[in-house]
Amino acid sequence: MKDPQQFKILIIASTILVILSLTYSILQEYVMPDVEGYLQRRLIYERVISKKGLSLHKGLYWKEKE
Amino acid sequence: MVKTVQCELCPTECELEDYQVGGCRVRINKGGTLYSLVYGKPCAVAVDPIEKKPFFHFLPGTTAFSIATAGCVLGCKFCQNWQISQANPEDVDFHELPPADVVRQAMFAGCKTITYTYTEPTVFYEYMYDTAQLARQYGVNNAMHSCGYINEKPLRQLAKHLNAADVDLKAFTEDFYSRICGGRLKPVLDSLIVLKQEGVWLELTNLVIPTLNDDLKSVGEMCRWIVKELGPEVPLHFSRFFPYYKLKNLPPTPLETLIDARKAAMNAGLHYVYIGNIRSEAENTSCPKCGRVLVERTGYFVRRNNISNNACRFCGTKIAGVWS
Repeated sequence: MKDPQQFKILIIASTILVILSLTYSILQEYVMPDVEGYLQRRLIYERVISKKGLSLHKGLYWKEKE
Repeated sequence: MVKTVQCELCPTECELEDYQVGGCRVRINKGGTLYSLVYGKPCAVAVDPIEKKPFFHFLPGTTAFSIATAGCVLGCKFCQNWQISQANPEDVDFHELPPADVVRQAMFAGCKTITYTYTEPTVFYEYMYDTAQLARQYGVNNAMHSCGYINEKPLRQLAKHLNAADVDLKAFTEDFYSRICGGRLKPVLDSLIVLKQEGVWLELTNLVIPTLNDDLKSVGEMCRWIVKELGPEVPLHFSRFFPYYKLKNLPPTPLETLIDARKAAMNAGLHYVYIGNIRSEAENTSCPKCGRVLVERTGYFVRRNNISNNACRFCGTKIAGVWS
């Protein structure tokens, strides 16, 4: 690896690879489960709960009355 | 990003993400607002004798219009109504019965009381609250059978419209509540004190389960707490356990165990201790002073009532309760 140009390309490519792999891991670990969970919950609400005719009625809160 | 919502109704205080349903199965966060899924949608509606709740010192011999929706704040392994209490609201059939219709039907059926029962009424709080408020305006009483697992503020607000409450005091150890019910004992004890302070007529039920909560030492401890904090005149019902749900491996409670528990409760100073879910003389109310039978019952039915002007007809001793 005597050509500095080639060495530079190799360094950049490796850095990009490491960043991509880290991003993928973070997405896989933290973001994907959230998105997946959200989509799953939303699907259950829209396809099951809502279709069964369970309408929504506002729930009460108490702490804000303090 | 839609914000999470914290439910403030029961001591579990679920923190819900968007479209997430709470542990009770019937409260949901949608778009950052908390909603009830079961308002006006009872899955059980029936006219019962008030004795079935059980209330023995609250309008004996009258009927109660009883409603329940799906869901529960606890997950007791011995639940006798698990088919609806541990079900999702979308998995059970329900009626469309708004508060006004509940009150109308209760009056039409000649019921003096509307009871919120079978499952845990805390989970349908808004429905119960609106119905109770309306019922009061029409002179219909409100009573709930609850596990008492509810936060103080909602309970105090509800208590203003409640005439009576029967609370399940399932055991007297934190270990039992956490292992068998998925909850805590302390909030239940706090609720009992709140109900007493708010002037709601209170009765207690203790389901005696072989090997799990039939230790007489613990029963005695529980009864002494009741006498000290709630008074000796709070009726206590020891109820016979039958193997249901996740505790099918245990036998039904022997009658002797219930009799022993009753004796321990009387020794602790309680005046009115009953045995339920089994026919016996311990279904009757006797005068704590002269010992004569005042209310004779067979199962849920009142055969004779010797209470006149809230007092024993024979010796004139005042008998705690709501008699007319």
